[in-house]
Amino acid sequence: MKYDILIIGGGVTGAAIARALSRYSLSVTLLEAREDLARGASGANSGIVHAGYDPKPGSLMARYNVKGCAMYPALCHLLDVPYRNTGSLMLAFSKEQMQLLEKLYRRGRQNGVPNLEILGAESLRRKEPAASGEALGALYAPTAGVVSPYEMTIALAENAAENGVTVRLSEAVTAITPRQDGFSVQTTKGELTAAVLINCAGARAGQMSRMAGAEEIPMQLRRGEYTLYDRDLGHLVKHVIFQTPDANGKGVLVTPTAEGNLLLGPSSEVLEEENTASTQPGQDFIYRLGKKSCPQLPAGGAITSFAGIRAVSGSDFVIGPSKIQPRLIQVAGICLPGLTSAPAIAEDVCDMALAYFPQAALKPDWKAERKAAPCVREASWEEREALCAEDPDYGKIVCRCETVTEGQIRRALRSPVPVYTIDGVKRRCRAGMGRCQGSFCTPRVMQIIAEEAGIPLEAVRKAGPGTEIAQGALKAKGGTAW
Amino acid sequence: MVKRVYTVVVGGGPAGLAAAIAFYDAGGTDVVVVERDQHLGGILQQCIHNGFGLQWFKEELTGPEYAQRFIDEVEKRKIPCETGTMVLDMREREDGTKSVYCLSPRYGVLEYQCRHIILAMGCRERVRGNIKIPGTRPAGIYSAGLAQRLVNLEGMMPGHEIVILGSGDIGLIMARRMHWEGAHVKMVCELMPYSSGLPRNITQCLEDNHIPLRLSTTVVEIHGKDRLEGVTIAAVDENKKPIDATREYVPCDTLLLSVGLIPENELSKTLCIAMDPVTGGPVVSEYRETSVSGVFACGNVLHVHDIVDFVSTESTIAGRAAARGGKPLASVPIQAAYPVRYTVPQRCSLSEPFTIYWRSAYPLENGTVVLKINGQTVLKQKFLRVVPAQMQELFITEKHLETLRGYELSDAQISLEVEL
Ligand SMILES: Cc1cc2nc3c(=O)[nH]c(=O)nc-3n(C[C@H](O)[C@H](O)[C@H](O)COP(=O)(O)OP(=O)(O)OC[C@H]3O[C@@H](n4cnc5c(N)ncnc54)[C@H](O)[C@@H]3O)c2cc1C
Ligand SMILES: Cc1cc2nc3c(=O)[nH]c(=O)nc-3n(C[C@H](O)[C@H](O)[C@H](O)COP(=O)(O)OP(=O)(O)OC[C@H]3O[C@@H](n4cnc5c(N)ncnc54)[C@H](O)[C@@H]3O)c2cc1C
Repeated sequence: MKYDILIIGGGVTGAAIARALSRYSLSVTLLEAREDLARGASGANSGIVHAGYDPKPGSLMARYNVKGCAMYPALCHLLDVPYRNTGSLMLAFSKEQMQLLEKLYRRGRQNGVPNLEILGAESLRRKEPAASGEALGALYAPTAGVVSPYEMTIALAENAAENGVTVRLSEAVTAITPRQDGFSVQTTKGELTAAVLINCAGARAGQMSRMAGAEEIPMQLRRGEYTLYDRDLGHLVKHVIFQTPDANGKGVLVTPTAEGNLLLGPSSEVLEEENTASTQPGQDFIYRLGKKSCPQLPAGGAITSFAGIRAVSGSDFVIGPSKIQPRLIQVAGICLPGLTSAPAIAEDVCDMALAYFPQAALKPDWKAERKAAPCVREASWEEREALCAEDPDYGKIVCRCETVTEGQIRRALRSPVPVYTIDGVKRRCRAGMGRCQGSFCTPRVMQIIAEEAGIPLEAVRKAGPGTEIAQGALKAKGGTAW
Repeated sequence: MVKRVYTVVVGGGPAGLAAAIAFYDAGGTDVVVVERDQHLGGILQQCIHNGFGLQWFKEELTGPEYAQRFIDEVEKRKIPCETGTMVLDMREREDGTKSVYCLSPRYGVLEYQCRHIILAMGCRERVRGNIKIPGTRPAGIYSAGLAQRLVNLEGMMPGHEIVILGSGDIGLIMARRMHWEGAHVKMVCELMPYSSGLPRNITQCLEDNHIPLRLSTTVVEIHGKDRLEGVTIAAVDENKKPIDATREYVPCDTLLLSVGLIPENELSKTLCIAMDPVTGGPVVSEYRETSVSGVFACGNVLHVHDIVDFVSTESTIAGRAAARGGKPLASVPIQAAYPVRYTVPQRCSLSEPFTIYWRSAYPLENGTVVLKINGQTVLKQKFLRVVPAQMQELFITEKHLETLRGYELSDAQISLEVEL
């Protein structure tokens, strides 16, 4: 197959670029190696929409962060993605840290972050009663917020797909051959060609660049671990609470998530290879530091832990056409604050790609909006009544913890980018994401998936190949010896 | 749609069914059972092993058989049951009447306006995240209840090389079940120095099948990328801290977790019912009435039971009390003095003889359980051995009540203690 543009990587960066390009009359394909979108850094991070006082003035990070942050509220509204403008507080526990806050405050002003404020102990307490009494003050950034990072990624990709982008999952790029008018790309499923290649392969971006015969992109991998707490604790803090970075590290954050849980993390640990296991020292570390910001943090109430890998390349994002292979556009080293920056990065990268297609025109029928499956948990009783009237499946609760109905699950499985796995359903409508972590609803979700995908029950998987929930049928179905 | 009834029973498991039957038999009319599942019977429907009903029916039944007897009784009385209907919210009005809001495919949104509510929502299992086992997150880790459901109701094998963490009853039952299905159950690990399962289950499920039970041992790491490949286990010291020198890798493709049950009280919280942090269920009087007048609780939502027969007994008390119109929350608190871990009820009115159910914090031998009021002993009962897995009973008779009532009840303090 011949495409105008091939995007490698279905993380938030690739998905945002796909959506930006979907406005134009171009043939665009997004390839993702894993069975679902957002399986890399985009699926396991803090989900913070940063205000932008952290990056160095003049850096790409500073520019895209501040712009991206400003885009989030409207974009999430268009795409029906959980987002909350909570504001953030960076706590200082010493005189030195207070001075650092001053510095970050000035830096923020320079970066163009609006309405930053330094709070004294008294106003901090008023704003965030759960913050530690030992904090001397805080840097308040009212534009910061929280978003569901995987739902954001999925929404961007679904919207792109609705507007004509081909999204191919479970297909990895294995070789890239530069040609005069583009590239020939070998994948695990075949071969295709593209005039322009956009490298959004996250931790593998260096590898992709090398494959294409472009420059080396040195990559450092750093693991960040998290603990996620029950919805019951989601109201413990009202803001994203950071600690002031110092010689001991960046500290950890305590935050409500966009969907109402409480999140604690991340740790930071350099790794040789991608490994998203959680560890005892990592979990102990984040708990100890989290407790410093928020002494009420309970020992119990955790429902799961996870880890994400930051792909860091030097001190800034690497964005732009390759010097050696100009038809390869690098979007690499997208570490923190990449989630926040993605929508802004996408606009620029889209323009870079368009330079190769002077004939490209805006599509008259481009749809900016995308609708998620309705959320019965958040719906009012009137809305629930209306949903049930439309489709009785919205009255059948499958996931008791998160109040997810069969209607939502079927709807998610009929989306423009359907993913027929337990985890795929979980990311799209939260069935199995609550306090019992799928102990009750898994069998029913399996049945619905099997029906929608037209596969046998035993073939239903948690995630990728080799993750089947059942290992075959009982040896003597129907007549066992109990 | 709005319906008016006298009493709504939330949950159609053994607790809800027994409560509805007792309510009816005590002269109550106009009761409805609301059940989220398509079928009545609750968690018993997947407990296809036998051993149920020895106390209540004096015979040995399987879980579904036990449940069916109650379902039959409910049907005989023509007590309406709304299955496939989940209660999402509850409200109390100034005049004491209540609203129970449900969602169902048949009616859409359904509101019951009622006088009484009997909570019988059961419990859920603790999961990996609750006990924070580090490592990867592959397929192949199941709560024991989920595995039980897959095997018994869906006819599917969760895996073949199995390690079970936690020696609670469900874990023990599943060890035997998987063994019978031809899986290799390598071991059952238990963090505590004693099992949290019933002694009869240790014998019948593990010993009879030569499945090793490793006490004071836990899983400290999970390995495997897509499917579980193995776990690292380690012995723990007296503070339950893993001892590094004892770390041992055990290859397996399946880990079953049987690490405790949690009463499912999210709904109870919508009525701001006072909760007991130890049981995880509401604080109740001997009539199983909660701190909100007219709201009762019974079964696993109140505290986790080891045998369902006790659930039936408890639910009968709740159902009867609801039919009598309920009593205001009794005022004398019953203090559980360590190593008594908890008592149910936690408060009492001392109007009629009743039973105090209690559990110990750890195994106790050759002791006496003592009921005191304001420090004065009212009742003593010797025991040979008490284990946390087995709920204990203490009968408060008319004779004891007379002694108790001799005190000024408004500021009396009853306590349950153990002397060794
Ligand atoms: C611990 C942690 C916390 C963070 N917190 C925040 C935060 O709070 N706020 C914020 O703004 N940012 C945060 N970030 C940064 C943010 O998560 C990343 O910048 C962003 O997710 C990067 O997205 P991406 O699409 O570039 O990469 P990824 O999400 O990693 O996507 C790359 C994709 O490429 C695919 N791929 C790789 N190789 C191939 C191949 N050969 N063929 C096809 N596909 C391939 C991968 O499978 C993957 O899905 C955090 C990151 C981490 C790790
Ligand atoms: C996985 C598992 C295995 C067990 N195995 C054994 C065993 O082998 N032997 C044994 O003696 N005991 C066993 N038990 C304990 C046994 O469940 C109890 O003794 C008994 O079933 C408790 O009865 P119940 O009615 O309180 O709860 P359940 O049987 O759990 O019934 C509660 C019912 O309420 C419904 N419900 C909950 N919330 C709502 C709502 N909001 N709206 C509508 N309906 C709702 C549920 O769907 C459920 O049907 C097991 C428990 C579990 C969790």
